[in-house]
Amino acid sequence: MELHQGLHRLRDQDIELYAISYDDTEAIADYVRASGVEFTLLSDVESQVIRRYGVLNTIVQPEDVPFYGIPFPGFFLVSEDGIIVDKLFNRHLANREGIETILDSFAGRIQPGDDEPIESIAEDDGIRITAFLRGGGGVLRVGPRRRLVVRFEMPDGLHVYGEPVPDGMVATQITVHGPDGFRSEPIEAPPTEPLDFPGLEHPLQVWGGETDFVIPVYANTDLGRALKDESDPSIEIDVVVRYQACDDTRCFIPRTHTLTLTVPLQPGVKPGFSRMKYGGATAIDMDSDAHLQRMVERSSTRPAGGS
Amino acid sequence: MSDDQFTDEYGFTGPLPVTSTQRVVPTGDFPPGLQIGEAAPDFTLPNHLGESVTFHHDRAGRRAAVLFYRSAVW
Repeated sequence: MELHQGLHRLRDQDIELYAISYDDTEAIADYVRASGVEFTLLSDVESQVIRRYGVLNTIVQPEDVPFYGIPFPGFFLVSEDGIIVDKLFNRHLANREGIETILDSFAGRIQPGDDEPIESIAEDDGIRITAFLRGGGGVLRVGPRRRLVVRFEMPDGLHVYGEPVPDGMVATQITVHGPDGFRSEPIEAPPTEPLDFPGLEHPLQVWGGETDFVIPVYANTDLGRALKDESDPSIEIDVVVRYQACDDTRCFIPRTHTLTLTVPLQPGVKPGFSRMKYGGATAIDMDSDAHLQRMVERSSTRPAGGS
Repeated sequence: MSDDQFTDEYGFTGPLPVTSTQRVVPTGDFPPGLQIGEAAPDFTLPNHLGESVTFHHDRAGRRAAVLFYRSAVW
């Protein structure tokens, strides 16, 4: 977990963090000792709260000792008056979210951090495009997900297009390129607005104002392995943006820009098992074997099918 | 890579077979769990010191993130 690195920013906003797993108190105590985390870790050995919140990992079956009982990884955000105001869960166990996702979600806007890689370009058509990597203080690690944000800032009256576009016009396209082991997921684009245009049968689909395109990205084991011998590793990510801007009466020529982000890479952190070796990761200083052994014993004495 | 390691479709290498249930990605209803707009249920669980923490009492009117993660051990 890399959550403790940004914890003070949650405290600044008076947001309390509760992290729940099915570990016993001995295991989380050891983890607190080894990692120095300062937020509240809670032990839900029977997965009761995990079930109550409806996030028991149903892919893992009761016979999968000792893994049965884990939740899907993610979080709920709770308002002052105790209402769930947002939630975010990942399908893959290796993908995790950071403090920044929590802050941005509460704020309702993604804000680039001070140390996070950012590049920007302003065009003479009045459009400003900014690409930045959000999460983890701008450092990529093997596993945790970051968000690559491409922000279009458009003056009043100007817009860019989503699919479908009529012949001769260019829909907005964003592609991301990085080294092997750098992975990006499909772009999350906000919905377009319909815009009636004289002489066209169907309304155009447009974005205007401030529009964020979000691309979830992460580094996998290949990248960790490739860079493990470098002392200060970083990678370059090219964000290629193609768009055409128009107002109600005229269109500018289509533009293509490449924004290059230089992103530092650091090793991931992996559990302290004596026999496990992971590419590009450093193990945490705790005896995970002993905790896992207790987990196995606990699972095998539980009634079949769990509680 | 040693013989007992595998790489899944996401490019993560680990000791578990690609077909293991821990590495399979759910395709059904997602995201899971309580809906946005519902009241967050109260609960009491022990912390790392073995002290009972009751969620709504402890947060005392502050906003909170309730985070679920698989394990501190593995």
